[in-house]
Amino acid sequence: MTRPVIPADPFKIHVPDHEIADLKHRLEQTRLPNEPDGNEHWDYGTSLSYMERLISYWRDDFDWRKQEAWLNSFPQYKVSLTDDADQDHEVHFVYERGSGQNPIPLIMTHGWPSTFREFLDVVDRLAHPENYGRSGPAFDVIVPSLIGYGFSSLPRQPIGPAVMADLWHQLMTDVLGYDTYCAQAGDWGSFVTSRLALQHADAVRAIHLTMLPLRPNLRHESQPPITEEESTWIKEMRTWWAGEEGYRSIQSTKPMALAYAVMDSPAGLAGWLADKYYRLGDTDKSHTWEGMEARFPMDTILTQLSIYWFTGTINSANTLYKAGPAEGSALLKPGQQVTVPTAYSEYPMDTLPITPKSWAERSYNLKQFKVMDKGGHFAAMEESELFADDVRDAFSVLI
Amino acid sequence: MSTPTPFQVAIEQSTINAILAKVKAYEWHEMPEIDPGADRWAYGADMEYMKELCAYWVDAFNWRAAEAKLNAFPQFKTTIETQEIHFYHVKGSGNAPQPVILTHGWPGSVFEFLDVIDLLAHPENHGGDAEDGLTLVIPSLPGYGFSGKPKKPLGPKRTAELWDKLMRETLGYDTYIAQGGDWGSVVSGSLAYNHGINKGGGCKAVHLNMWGIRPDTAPETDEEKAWAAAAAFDFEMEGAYLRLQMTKPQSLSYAMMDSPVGAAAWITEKFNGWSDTRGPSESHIENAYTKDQLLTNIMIYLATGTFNTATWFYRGMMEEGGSNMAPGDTLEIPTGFMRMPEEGKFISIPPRSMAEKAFNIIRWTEPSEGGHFAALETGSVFADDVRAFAKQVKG
Repeated sequence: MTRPVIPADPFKIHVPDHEIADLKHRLEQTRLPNEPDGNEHWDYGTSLSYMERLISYWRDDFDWRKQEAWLNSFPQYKVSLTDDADQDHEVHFVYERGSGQNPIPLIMTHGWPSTFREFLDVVDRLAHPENYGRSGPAFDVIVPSLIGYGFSSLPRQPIGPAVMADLWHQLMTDVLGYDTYCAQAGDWGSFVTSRLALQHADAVRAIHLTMLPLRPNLRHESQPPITEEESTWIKEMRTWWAGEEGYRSIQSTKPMALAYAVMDSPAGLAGWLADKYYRLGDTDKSHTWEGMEARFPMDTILTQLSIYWFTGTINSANTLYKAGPAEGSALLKPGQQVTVPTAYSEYPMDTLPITPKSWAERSYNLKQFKVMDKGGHFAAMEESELFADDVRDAFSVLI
Repeated sequence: MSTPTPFQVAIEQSTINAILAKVKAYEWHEMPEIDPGADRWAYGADMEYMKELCAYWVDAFNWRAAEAKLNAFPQFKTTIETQEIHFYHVKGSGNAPQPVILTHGWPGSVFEFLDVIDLLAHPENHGGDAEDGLTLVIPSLPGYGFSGKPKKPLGPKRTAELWDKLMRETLGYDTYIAQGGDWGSVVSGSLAYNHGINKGGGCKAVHLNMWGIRPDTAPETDEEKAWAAAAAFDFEMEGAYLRLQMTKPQSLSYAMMDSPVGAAAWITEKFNGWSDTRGPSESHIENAYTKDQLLTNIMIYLATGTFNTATWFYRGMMEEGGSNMAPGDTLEIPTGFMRMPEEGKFISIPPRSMAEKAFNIIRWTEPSEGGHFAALETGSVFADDVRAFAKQVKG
């Protein structure tokens, strides 16, 4: 099939041999820490016995070339775009055109500590549902790498989700030629997607989110008083965050205190990120590493980590936590709401309390609210079939 | 209880070489562009300075010279209830030198006190009176430097128990003065609060240069309220390392144990942020420290492989139930506060009126210069204050 030409450069990933050799060398030289007694369930952070397994697999068994070939089996492009502050960015994206006459354009945005790879297991399911015995709509699937992540460029000065949303709109309209489109996301992607819906409400037809990042302005008269359910949920979330937010706290204040180590040590990069997959994924935590490896096979997590490592983007990725809040774009103005029809699906992460529906309704024009029975924070990777069906069904309802 | 064994620092050359090889091979990366004139440390450790520090580390820093300085005073190791403790023990001049236990914190080490040892133990060498000499005990915190690594986190309360045993049972000092900043101020505060002579312990007075052990008193005056508001704001901007080390130290440790430059940046950022870096023209970390001083302290963490266990102290504090006094409680032991002007704001000592609500203050000084690592930054100011405090206690 010939693809129509788009004004973007086709792109293939190719990591030079010497960088692969350098990674292996660093893994061989790794100096591991000891671990406190009683860390079988990762209570003090990433487990040492898991890390020993991960480092040994990354060094001896992981086949980057095989993963690279798989990543390259998806059509990818790069395009140069300029933001309102005149900073130039190179946006990397996967672009898979859907089956049929009228596929729905859908831009899917990943978050931290993830990459565009998060959605690759669902690209084909969403673009070509007929291959999976599904009858719903097909999508033109666009999966960009966030600015400062993976194969997109590093910003000279950090930018936040509102600026990225404008870039995404340029990508969808000016580059890909769509007048209207849909968007899907979780984590930082949900900030970008929510801003996209706020800033380009005329073009965005509907959004599907797996995280609700916007905060309602509770002082406005349109906001009913906090319900008892919401108040309990807020308290539970605060307690949960108090134990988990150290990484966010560092990245949002002093990313350059952390950067030197995680840019230098692949084991350090893995130790910093693996904890998040374990904690936020729908992992069975009864065993130190079995549940983790069942949910996130070594090849899967190491492809994610290798993308961070080879592109040297963990620092710029972490810095989004400082640039995002600095932009102040998560707090809605008094009376402001996302007017674009929105579906929210909560994929459970066992330790987190379920968001009250009334909370979602405060900030979004909520048309659908679902609580899934399995999934986790990286649902597209963890439960790709369930997730693809959920997204397809949601947009069937929304548009 | 074991008899202390004499100890000298002697790091294997292969350990030093492995560290230096990684520093030398470091591949510098990007950092966010900083506008001209803006704070180059706004995102964390400034890369220009880290490059300069690492170049010096590889080309000019002499670990063996640093080691010789560390070995210039008598050191010992002893084991107290399974915890191996490293400490300096320097007998003071005069007929009855007062024993004082000096405790460092994070990310410091016993190195902070090297320059004040002779000033405090032998004032006669510095134009003072031999009778003012103090006997010094300077331990490395559990999991820090040359002390042993605990199997799981322990905190300041537990450490204070060990220190009281070290002073009374191991060394035979029935009563002593405790001094400290950073974790040292919490450990010293806990010695005074839980092991004071009024409670059957040996701590008879305490001298603090950080707001460590805290009473549950609310700010009342405008000055107190302004201090509390500045501290709360500063904690949001500066307290992230603490939140992390208190909850998930292990997730940080893989990076910091494997990357010497990474650990150096994590530590140097704190030395820059909490010190009196003011200078005649502009602020700079080397207005407070030399590269040799910064690197000696960093190398103690790296050469002993204790970055990880040192961060456990934060988690240990949390597991002990925090470090605050019980509601309504006061600390009866005579207390001295040295309020340094450039201390980190969220750990700075409050206005005297607020401290007086819970402490028996016999000395309060506000030096015009100095910061968090007071003994290292302004050795003579620190030594003069501690000596004067000990004289006041003696009466």
